[in-house]
Amino acid sequence: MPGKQRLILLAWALFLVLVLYQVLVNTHIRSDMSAFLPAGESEEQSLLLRELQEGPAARIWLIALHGETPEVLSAVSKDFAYRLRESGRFIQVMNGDEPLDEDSRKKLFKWRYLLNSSVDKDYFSVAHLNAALLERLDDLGSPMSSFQKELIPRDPTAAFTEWLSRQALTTGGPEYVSGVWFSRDHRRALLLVETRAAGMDLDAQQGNYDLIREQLNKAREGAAVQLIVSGTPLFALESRMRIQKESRQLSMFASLFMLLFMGLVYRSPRRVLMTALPLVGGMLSAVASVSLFFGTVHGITLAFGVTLIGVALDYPVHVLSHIHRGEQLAPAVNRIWPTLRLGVLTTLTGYVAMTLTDFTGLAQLGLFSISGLLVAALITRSLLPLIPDSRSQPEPRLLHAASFLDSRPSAVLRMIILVAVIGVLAMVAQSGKTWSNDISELSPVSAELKTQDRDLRAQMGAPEPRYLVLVSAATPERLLQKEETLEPVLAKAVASGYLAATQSAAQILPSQAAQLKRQAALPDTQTLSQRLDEALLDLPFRRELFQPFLDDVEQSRSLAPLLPADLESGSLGVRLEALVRPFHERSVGLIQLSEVSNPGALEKLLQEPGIEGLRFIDLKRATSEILDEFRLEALDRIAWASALIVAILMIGLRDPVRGLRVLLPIILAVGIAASLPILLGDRLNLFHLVSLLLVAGIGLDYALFFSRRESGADHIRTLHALLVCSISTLVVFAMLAASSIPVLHAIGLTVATGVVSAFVLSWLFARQTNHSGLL
Amino acid sequence: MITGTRISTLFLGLLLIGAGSLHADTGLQEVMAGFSTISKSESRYTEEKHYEMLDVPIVQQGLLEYQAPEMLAWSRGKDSQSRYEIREDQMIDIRNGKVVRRMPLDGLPAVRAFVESFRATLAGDEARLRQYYALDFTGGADRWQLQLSPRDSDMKRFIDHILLKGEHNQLRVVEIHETDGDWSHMDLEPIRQEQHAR
Repeated sequence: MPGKQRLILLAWALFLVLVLYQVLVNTHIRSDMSAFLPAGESEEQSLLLRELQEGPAARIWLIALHGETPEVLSAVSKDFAYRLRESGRFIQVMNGDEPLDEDSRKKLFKWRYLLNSSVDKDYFSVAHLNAALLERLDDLGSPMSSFQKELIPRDPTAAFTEWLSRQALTTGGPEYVSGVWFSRDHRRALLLVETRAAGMDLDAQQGNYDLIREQLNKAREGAAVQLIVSGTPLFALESRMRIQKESRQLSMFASLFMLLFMGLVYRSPRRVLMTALPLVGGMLSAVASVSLFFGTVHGITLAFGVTLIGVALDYPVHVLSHIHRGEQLAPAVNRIWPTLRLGVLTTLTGYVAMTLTDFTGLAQLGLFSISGLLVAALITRSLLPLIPDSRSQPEPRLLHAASFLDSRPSAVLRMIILVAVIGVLAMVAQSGKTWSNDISELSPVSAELKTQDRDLRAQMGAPEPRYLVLVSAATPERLLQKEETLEPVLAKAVASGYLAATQSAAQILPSQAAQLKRQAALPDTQTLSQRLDEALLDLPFRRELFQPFLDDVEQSRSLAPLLPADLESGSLGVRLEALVRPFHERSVGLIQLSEVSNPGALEKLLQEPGIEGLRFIDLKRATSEILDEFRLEALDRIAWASALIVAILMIGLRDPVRGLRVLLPIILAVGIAASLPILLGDRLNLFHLVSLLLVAGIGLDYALFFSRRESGADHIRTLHALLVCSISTLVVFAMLAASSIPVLHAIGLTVATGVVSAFVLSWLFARQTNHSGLL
Repeated sequence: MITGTRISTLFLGLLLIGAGSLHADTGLQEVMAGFSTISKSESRYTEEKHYEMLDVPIVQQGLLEYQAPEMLAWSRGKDSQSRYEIREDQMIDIRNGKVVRRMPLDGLPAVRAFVESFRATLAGDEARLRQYYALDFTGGADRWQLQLSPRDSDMKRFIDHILLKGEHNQLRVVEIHETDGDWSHMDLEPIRQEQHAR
């Protein structure tokens, strides 16, 4: 091997080692949407993204235990909940049995007159005190008096217990058996847990899922208690698992098929390896370059990207089919390189247009494809020819079959086909309903699981994952004030039946302003003492009994308002932290909504008071809007890319008629591939769109090779390469199309249709070759 | 033989004491067995409650209802406007027909123990009763007295002991003696009893 070649080989080896190092050591794959979407265009959008990733609704697991008697289930539920709380991985574990920690309880009691929203000027009036004392007298008459009387001297108005019970009522709720939540038929014990980890942090959620199962196993102590889990994290895990499993199977079958097919056609294991080399090298380089430039690689980039650079598989096929008997690879590479180069260059140009965007996802995808295809092409051009081919290598199989492709139908028939295709496309284009942005259509989660989730959610009064209210304000204090003004509106919405319940930070801890206002309404000891005396007339209570009450009210007059930080260590503090979070030096509050039945009316009602910084969010609608934007941006990029591609083709081919012959089949093939799903009753989504890009890339190569100017013998070899390429692509993507997962099905169907159309159309409209050649 | 007589007297005495305690135990078992046949009962009660907080005792009337296996309710006032219900292991506080509070008994160990003094007795469940109280039964099945001393430390904070009196499977008197000296006396008059279907 000459020195120069050795140098090239060495350079490639070094390059691939570096690439491999970057892939194996420095590459992190992310799966959260934020890495894929535009970097915080508006506050609205970035808030929304954060909510999607970190929002409590996406962190809630709904758990049901069944398969045993209610007594066993409730005992297991208690132990299970205790274990989950102890693990420290959950913000809250609710099963109807959650204790309020002693520290929080003491604080809430001490601050009761500042926290209870009933406290105003009238609260300590003679009339109200008298009414309250009558109630306490009734408490003493009750069978539970022994346990209730303790607080009477300190809290005769029951400010504390009233406040506590109001907290409990807002959560709405399931039925109880033995003190824990149960379904209405008493066959399932119910639990609701909120994880610390974000909903999109799938690895952490997988850990939580394992923990839930493991702790139940310990808690049930051999009883036949069965576990049902649901919730957004489960759906995410389920989707990931199913997609991973099915794509692993499919890629295994696809690889197996490719190995067999290539082995069959090119009759040598060495050549089979040659066909894989550019694609593998390209993929590794693509991953390495994206992780180098962006820091991380997004899971979606990886999935789409691998699809897009699948066209690189065709490069070595062209080379291998063009090797004349007894020849090495180098002359064949030289023969096809001009055509291949034009194809690669035009495709690359298209992807350059894609990288110039704010959408991180599109930019990553563009870079991924550019580097992948570039390296694959370069490997084909310079590395493959260095690999010695066997001298006695027989001609590939199917060469004879390919020669049948050399004759084409008559011009009239071709015109009829052209008109028919254009006619059908025009008809589909007329139908209008083209795009869908409903992500849930793509979810591989079964309808059964979704129904179960809805049932459990309704029975527990769990917050909706779809609707929520966000309120933003300059400081946490301002935020709590805003939420307080919203309180009556929410109460009205609940009363009107638009939803079942709400949960906000202000419901747990009032603003300082509200606390100070209540403080100002507290009477001094002398006034209160006089009023109390008056209220006690005709009542059997002893006079001196209420000194602790007088002392506590006096003490409350000088208390500093209770702040979120004061509750930090307890269970309420953790709740507050989830409901109020800092955002760009502002404070954003989340109001959780349960069982929203009339979102339209609710939204209207909430907008009415004109509270600045309030947003009613429908996450489904919002994600649709983001997808819409993504699609429009992608289409915009594709338009630019198409213009560039046409320009380059015209320049590269130096022949407008040949240019047209190349372009027409591509446009039609893309049109057909886009139409088939619509004709089958689907709408197009992002996955179709990316698949169409691949169809265009493949179609371009087909059209260029079909219209190559070359001798008849060489043209047969070109036809052979195209036949092998299209059969392999068709089979691989037909496998995807057979998948039960909507995403894989969409990609498979589109590409398979596109490849067949591109092949047939390019063949029909390619320039007729002169048959003066050999063979 | 003097020593022989002494020994046999002692032996007879021991036998008698043994028989006495044996008698008390069978009495309790008989009473409990009697209660366990009842599936549903209603009793009118008159109650006097003596509180240190009050200058005069509360005197009031009410209705005690029990339905096997676990429902227990006290109603007071005109049209039973105040009602405490124990149902599905929750304490439900109803005022003027409206539920004002609903708390799981598990969060209130003392209340649970208190509830069992009525409920386990009316169910004739001696084992459950012993779970919460040390029992001291005196008298016979026809006229008996049962003193319950709480085992649970939570309840000991509030209740010193509860004294139940009755005849056969009818509860007639409940006296509650609280730790701080407050006490109450309840006289019950059964107005309805239903037996379990055989």
